Amino acid sequence: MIDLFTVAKFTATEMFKKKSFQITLIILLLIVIIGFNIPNIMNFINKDSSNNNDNENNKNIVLVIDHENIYQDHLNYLNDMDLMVSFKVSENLKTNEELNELILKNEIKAAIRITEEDENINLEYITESIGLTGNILVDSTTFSELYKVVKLKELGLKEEDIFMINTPLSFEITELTSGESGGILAVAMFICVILFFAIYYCAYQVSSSITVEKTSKIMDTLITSTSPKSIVVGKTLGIGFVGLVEIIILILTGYISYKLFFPAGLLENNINITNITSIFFLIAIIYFLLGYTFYAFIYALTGSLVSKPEDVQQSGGLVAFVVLIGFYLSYFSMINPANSLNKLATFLPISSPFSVPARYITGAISLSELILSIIILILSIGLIAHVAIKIYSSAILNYGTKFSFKTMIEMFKQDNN
Amino acid sequence: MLLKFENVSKTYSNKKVVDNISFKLDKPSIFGFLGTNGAGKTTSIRMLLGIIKKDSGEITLDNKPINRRNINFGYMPEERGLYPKITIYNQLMYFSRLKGIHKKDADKEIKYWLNKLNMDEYINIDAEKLSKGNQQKIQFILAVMNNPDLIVLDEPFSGLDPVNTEVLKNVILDLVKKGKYIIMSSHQMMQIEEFCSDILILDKGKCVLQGNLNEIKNNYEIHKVEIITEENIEKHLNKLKLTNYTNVNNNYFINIKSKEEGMNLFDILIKNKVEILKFELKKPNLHDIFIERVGK
Repeated sequence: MIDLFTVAKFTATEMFKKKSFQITLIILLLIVIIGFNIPNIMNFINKDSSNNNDNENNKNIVLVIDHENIYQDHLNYLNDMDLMVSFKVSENLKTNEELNELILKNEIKAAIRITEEDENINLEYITESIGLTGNILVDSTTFSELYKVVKLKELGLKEEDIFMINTPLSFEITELTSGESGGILAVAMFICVILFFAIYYCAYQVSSSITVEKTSKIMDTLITSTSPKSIVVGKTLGIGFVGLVEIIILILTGYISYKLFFPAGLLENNINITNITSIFFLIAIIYFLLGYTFYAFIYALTGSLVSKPEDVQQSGGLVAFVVLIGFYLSYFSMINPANSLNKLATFLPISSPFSVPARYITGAISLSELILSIIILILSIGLIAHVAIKIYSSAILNYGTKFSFKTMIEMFKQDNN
Repeated sequence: MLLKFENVSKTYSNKKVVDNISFKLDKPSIFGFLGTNGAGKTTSIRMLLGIIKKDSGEITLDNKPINRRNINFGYMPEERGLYPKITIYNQLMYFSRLKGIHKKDADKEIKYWLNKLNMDEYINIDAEKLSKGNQQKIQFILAVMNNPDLIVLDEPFSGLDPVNTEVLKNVILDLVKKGKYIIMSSHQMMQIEEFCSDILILDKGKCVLQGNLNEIKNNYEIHKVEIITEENIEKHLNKLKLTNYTNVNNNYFINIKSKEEGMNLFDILIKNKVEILKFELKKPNLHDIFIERVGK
C-alpha cells in the first residue's frame, strides 16, 4: 500500500515538473479566460464598428430614381424599414454618366432605377462593383414588399388593414419528452467534448508513462522494487490526481473569469442553467475520475505491450478507436434526447463518462439511471483492472515480442505474482 | 543464511528455458552464474527474485519458500535503464522509498554511495546526461543501497572503463567481506575466475557444469604450454609434430596432449640453446572450460 502511494506521488510530482504539462495548462487557462471574455471582446469590436458604421452610414446612401412615380411617393417609407442603408429619392432624372460621377465621388454608394415596361416593374441596381462576394446593399425583396403596399392602397385598403396583413405569424415549439433544447443542449455537448478530451488526454499519459519505463529498460529494477499492481494502480492514481488538479484549476479559473469578466445575466437570459449546480460539478468530477480510471487501465495494458516508443501510437490506436466510439455514441445520441441510444450511452462504460454528466445538465437522466450507470462503470473498472494488471505483469518484461490477442490471453492465464 | 535452488524448471511456449537446475549458497561469497545468451540465466534470476513464477522445483531461504518479504535483495539487471529526464538524486530516492528506506536514511545512503563511486558531482543531473559507464554505476547503487543480504549482479562490468572496473571490483569484494551473498552473471570469464569461488554453467536451460571453481580446474589436465622466446621456434615444433599452436611475436600457445609432451619440448629448446623468456604448462582456464562445455 505504501509502495502504491510512493509510485503515485513520484508519478504526480514528475508530471507536474514536465514542461509540456505546464505549457499545456497555461494554454488551457488562457483559453478559459479568453473564452469568458468573448462577449466583452465582441462588445469592444461592435462598439468600434458601430463608430465606424456611423461614418460608413453616411456613405451608404442608395439613390432611388423613380421618374415614372411608380411607387406613388411611398419611397420615403424605405428609410423607416431599418435597413442599415440610407435611401435618397432623386427628384431629377439622372443620366448614367451623372450617377457614375456621384458613385465615384463617394457621394452615393449605389443607385436603383425603377422603370415600367409592359406592366412589368424593372429594378436596375447601379454600383461601382459587387466584388467577388456579390455584395449589394439592398435587394428586390424590399421593393417588392413596398410595391404590394402601393397596390393594396390602390385597391382601397386602409393602412391598418395593410399592417394587419403584414404582421408576422407566431410560431412556438412544444416538446413532449424530457430534456431541454437550444442553448442548454449546446452546453451539454460542450461538456461531453470537454470530458472526452480530459479523460482521453489523462488516460493516454498512463500508457505513455509505462512505455517510457519499458523503453528506458528500467522495468527490471522497478519490478524488483515493487509489485506490478502497485506500479499500475500507483501510476493511475498519480496521473489521475494530476488530471483532477488540472480540472479543478480550470474550473476555478472558469468560475472566477465568469464572475469577473462575463456580462451579468447574459448566460441566465439565454440558457436554462438551473441544472448547473454544485451537484452537477460533483457528478462531472466523479465521471471524469471513473472514466479516466477505466481508460487508464486499458492504456496501462497496451502500454505494457509496447517495446519501442514508435509503437505507442499503433498500440494505442485500438483504444483510441474505442474511446471515439464511446464519445460519438454519447455526442450524437444527445442531439435527440428522446432517442433510445441515450440509454445505451448512459450504461455502456465506454460512453457513460461522456454521456451522463451532459445528460444530467439537460435534466434528461433519472436518479436510478445515474446510480445504475455508476455501478456498471465501477464494476467494469474492477474487471479491466484485474485483466490489465495480469497482462501487465507478464508483458512488461517482454521485449521485441509482437503481441496478438492470443498471446494476451496466454499472458492473462499465466500465474505471475 | 542458506539459499537453495532445487530442481527448478520453467517453460515458455512449449520451450523449456530452465531445465531442472539446482545450486545453493551457504556462505557469503560470489557465485558465478554463466551461460551463453539465451541459456536461461536471466529467467533463473527472475524466478529467484520472484519476478516470474517457476513451473516446478523449490527456491528456499533457510528451508522456507523465498519471497520478496523474507529476503532483502538487490538486483542489477542486464537491461540497464534509468529514467532519462529525472535527476539521479530523485530516482535514487524513489527506489529507496520503494524499498522501504526512510527518507532521512535514504538521503544518507544516496550521498554515501555516490561518494564511494566518485559520483557526487552528478547528484542533480538528469540521467540522460550521464555517460553509459556512470549510468551503470547508478544502477549498481540502486542494487546495493538498501543494504541487501543477497545481491544479484547481471554483467556488472560490461561497458566500464578499467578505472571504474577497478573501483567496482573493490566495492564488490568489500560487500563479500561484510557478509553479503552475491550472484554474478558475466560473459567475462577472467572476472569470474578472479571473483567467484563457485560457479554454475548453463547451456540451453540445462546445467552443464557446477561446483567449486578450483576443484573444477584441478580436474582438468595440462593441455597447453605458453612459451615466449626471442626467436622463431616453429622448426622445433614441426619436428615434434606439434602443429596446433598460435604465434604472435614469438609468443606461442601450443596445444599438447600431456605434461610429458610439454617437458619434452622444453628439453629440446634448451638443447638447441633457444633463449626462453617464459615457459608455462597450462591447465584449462574458465574460458577454455566454458568453450569446451557450451561451444560445441
